[in-house]
Amino acid sequence: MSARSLRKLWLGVERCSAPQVPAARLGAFRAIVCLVALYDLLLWSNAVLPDAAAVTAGTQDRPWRPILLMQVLGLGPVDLSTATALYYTGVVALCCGALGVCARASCAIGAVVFYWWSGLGYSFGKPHHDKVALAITLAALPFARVGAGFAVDALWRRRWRRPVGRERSVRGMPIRLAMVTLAFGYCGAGLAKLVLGGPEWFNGYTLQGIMLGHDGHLSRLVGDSPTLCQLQSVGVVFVQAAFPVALFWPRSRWFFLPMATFFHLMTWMTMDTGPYMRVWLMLFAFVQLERVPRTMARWLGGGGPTAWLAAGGLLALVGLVAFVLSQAIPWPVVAGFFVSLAAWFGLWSRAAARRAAAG
Amino acid sequence: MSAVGLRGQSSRFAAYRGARPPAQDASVELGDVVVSLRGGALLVAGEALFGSQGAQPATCTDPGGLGRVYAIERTGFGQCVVGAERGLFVLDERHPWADRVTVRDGMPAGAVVGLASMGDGRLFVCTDLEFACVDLRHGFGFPFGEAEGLPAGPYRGLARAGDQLLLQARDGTFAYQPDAGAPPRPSGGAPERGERTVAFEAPVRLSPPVAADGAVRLRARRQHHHLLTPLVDGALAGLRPGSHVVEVFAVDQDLRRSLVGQYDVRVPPPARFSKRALMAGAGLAGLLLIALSWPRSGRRRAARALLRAGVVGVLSLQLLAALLGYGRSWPFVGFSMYTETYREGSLLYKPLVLGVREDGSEVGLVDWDLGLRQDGYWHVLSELVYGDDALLQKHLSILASRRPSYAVTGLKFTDTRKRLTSDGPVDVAPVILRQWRQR
Repeated sequence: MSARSLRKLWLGVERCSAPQVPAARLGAFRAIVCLVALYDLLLWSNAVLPDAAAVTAGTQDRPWRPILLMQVLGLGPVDLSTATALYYTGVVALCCGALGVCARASCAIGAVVFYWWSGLGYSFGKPHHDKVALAITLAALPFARVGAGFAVDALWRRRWRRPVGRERSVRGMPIRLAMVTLAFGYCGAGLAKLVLGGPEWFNGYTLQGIMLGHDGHLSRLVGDSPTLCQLQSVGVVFVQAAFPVALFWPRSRWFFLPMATFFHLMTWMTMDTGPYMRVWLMLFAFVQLERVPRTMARWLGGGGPTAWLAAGGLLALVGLVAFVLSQAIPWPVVAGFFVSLAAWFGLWSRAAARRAAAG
Repeated sequence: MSAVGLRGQSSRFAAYRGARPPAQDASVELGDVVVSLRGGALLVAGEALFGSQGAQPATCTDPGGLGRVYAIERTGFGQCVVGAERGLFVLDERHPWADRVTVRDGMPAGAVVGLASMGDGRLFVCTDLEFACVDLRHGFGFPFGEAEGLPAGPYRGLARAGDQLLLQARDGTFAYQPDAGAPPRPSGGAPERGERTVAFEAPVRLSPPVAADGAVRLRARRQHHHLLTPLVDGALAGLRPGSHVVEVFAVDQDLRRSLVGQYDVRVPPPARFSKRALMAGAGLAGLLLIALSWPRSGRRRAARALLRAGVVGVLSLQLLAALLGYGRSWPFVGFSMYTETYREGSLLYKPLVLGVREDGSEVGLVDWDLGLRQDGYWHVLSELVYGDDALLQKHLSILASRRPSYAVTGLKFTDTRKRLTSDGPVDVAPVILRQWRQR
C-alpha cells in the first residue's frame, strides 16, 4: 500500500469514526450513557456488595474466577469498605457525568469504577454480553468534548465565559463507536448462529429449546409450536445479521431500532434474560437526539393520530424504563427523575415557542 | 476408564438353588397414579388422568414407543423406572408418561430385561448381554464383567429375593449380594489433598490411594459443577485455563461412592495468552498502530493519532474476540451464546430445589429462599448437592427464617427435564440428584 493511499485510509477512518455532530447531541448521549451506567452500578451492587461482605466475613461462597481484565491489572476480590467507597465514588461520578459537571473527568472516573465494578461482579460469576456497547462507549466519553452541550459545564461557560463558536459542533467519536459496536454485536450474534448453528438452527426446535430452556413468562405461549419457532428463527437472525444496514441507511433505523428493542423485550419474556435495557437504551446512539424535543413538540402539538401515536409511544417508553428502573432504584427516585425530565421539556417547549414567536 | 483397588475377591455371584423368581407382572403406586405391567404392556391408572376408565396404555415421548415391557421398579424417589425392549424409561405421578432415562456412560445397550432398585437412586439393570449398576441421580453406570465374576449371558431377567438379586443367566439363576463388604474409602483414612499444575490442554493425573473390597473406578467433579466425570487412565482432561478444585470419588461396582482426594489444579493459559505475552503484544500493537496512524501534517497530530489508533484498536479487539469466541475477555466477547442446536427428541434441563414438608408435600424454592446467590444454574447449587449435613442444615435455617410458612424439613435437588416433541414440549420426570431430610 502506498503512503498516499495509507494516508487516505487514515483520513477516512478519522472522518468516519469522529464526524462533526451537534454538541447537544453528544451531550444528550453522554447523559444517557452515564444514567444507564449508573443504573448498572446500582443493579450490580446487589451482587458486588454481598460478595465484598462475604470476603470481609471470610464466608465467600462464590468462587473467584477473574476475568482477563482483572488478571492483567492484578486486581483481586475487595473487602466491604473498599467496595462501599468504590460504589459511592461511582454514583457521584456518574451523576456528575449525567449532569455534565466536570463532564470529561466525571466520565473518566465513572468509567474506571464501572469497569472495576463489572470486573468484580463477573469474576465472582460469569461475564455477560448485555453491556459491551455501554462499557466501550463509557470509556470513549472522556476522549470527546462531552461537556460542550447539554451540560452544566456548557451553561457555566455560557454564563461566565465567552462562548466559543466551535462548541456548536464537536467530534462525535463516542456516538459513532457506540453505533459500530452495537451493529457489530448484533451482526456477530446473527452470523454466529448461521455459521456455528448452521441450517439446524432454523429447524424450530432450536429456538424452542433456547426459549424453554430458560423459561420466561411467555416461553410456553411463544415457543409451543416448532413451526412458529421456525418463522421466528428466520426473523431473529435477519434482524441481527442485517442490523449494520442501519449504519449506512438512516431511514432503515425506523425498522431496525424498534425491531431490536422488540427482540430484547421478547427475550426478556421468553428466555428470562432480564430487560436488557443497557442495550436498547444505547440504541439512542442512532437517533439525532438534538431534534427529539422539537420533533416531539411538533407531533404532540399537531393533534390528530400523530399526536396520539407519539403520546402513546412516549408513554410506553417512559413506563417501560420506569418499570425496569424501579426494580433496582427506589420508585420515588425514578418518579422524581421523570418529573424533572418532563419539567425540563415543558420549560424548553415554552422557550422554543417564545423564540419562534420572536422570529 | 481406570479400575483400581482390585483385590481379586471371589465372585459375589453364587448359584441359586431356591425358588424361581416371581412372575414379572407388577404394579407400582405413585401417589394417585398406579403404574402396572400386564403381559408385556405398561398401563397407567389414575382418577385425575382417566376418571373411572381404569388403567390405560401408557404414553411414551419416544416416537418408537417402549416396545415390550419386561420390568418396572420404584426408585425410592417417587418415580417408577421401566425396563423395556427399547431401553430404560422413567415416569412419576406428575409426569405419568414414559420418557427415556439419560445415562451418560456405563448403561448396557439393548432391551432391558430385568431391573432391581436399591431405593436410593441406584438401579441394577440387565439386558440380553450385559449387567450393570446404574446411578439414576448422576447418570452413569458400572457395567459388570469377568473381573466382577459375572456369570455368562445371555440373561433373561432379574428379581429380588430378600436382600439378594437373582440374575437369570445362561447357566441358571445366580444370587448376587449388593453392598457386601465395606464401601471404598481413602486408604489413609482421610481424602488425599494436593496441588497440581498442568499445561494447557494436558490431562491432569489424579491417583489418590483407595482401599476397597472390590473393583472401584474413579470419577471426578470440579467444584461448582454437578457432573461426575470418569477418569480415563487415572487422568482428567479438558480443564480450561484457571484454578480448579477437583474432587475425586471412588465408586465401587454397586456405585457406593466416597471422596478420596481433593486437589487444587492450576492450568496456566497457553504461552501465547500468558499475561506477559498479552501485555507485550498489546504494547507492541499499540505502538505500531500509533506509528502507522500518525498524521504527517495538520494540527493536533498526537490527539488525532490517538483517536485513529484507539478506534481501530477497539474494533480490532472486538473482531478478535468474536473470532476466538471467548467470554472472559469482557468487554471484548465472542458470540457463541445461543448457537447450540436442538432437534426433535432433545432434552432441556433446569435445576429446581423443592422443599419437602413432614407430610411429604413439596414446595418449589428459589435461590433467595435458601440464601444462595448464583450466576448460572449449578454455580453454587452443586455444592449443596454434594455438601454435608451441616451445610444443608445452615441453608434450611435460612429458609426457615425467610419462609416460615413453608414449614420445610427436607430438601430435594432436582434437574427438571423437558422433551421436545413434534407435538410440542413435554415436561417429563426430573432427575433427582439428592433427597435430604433434617435429622
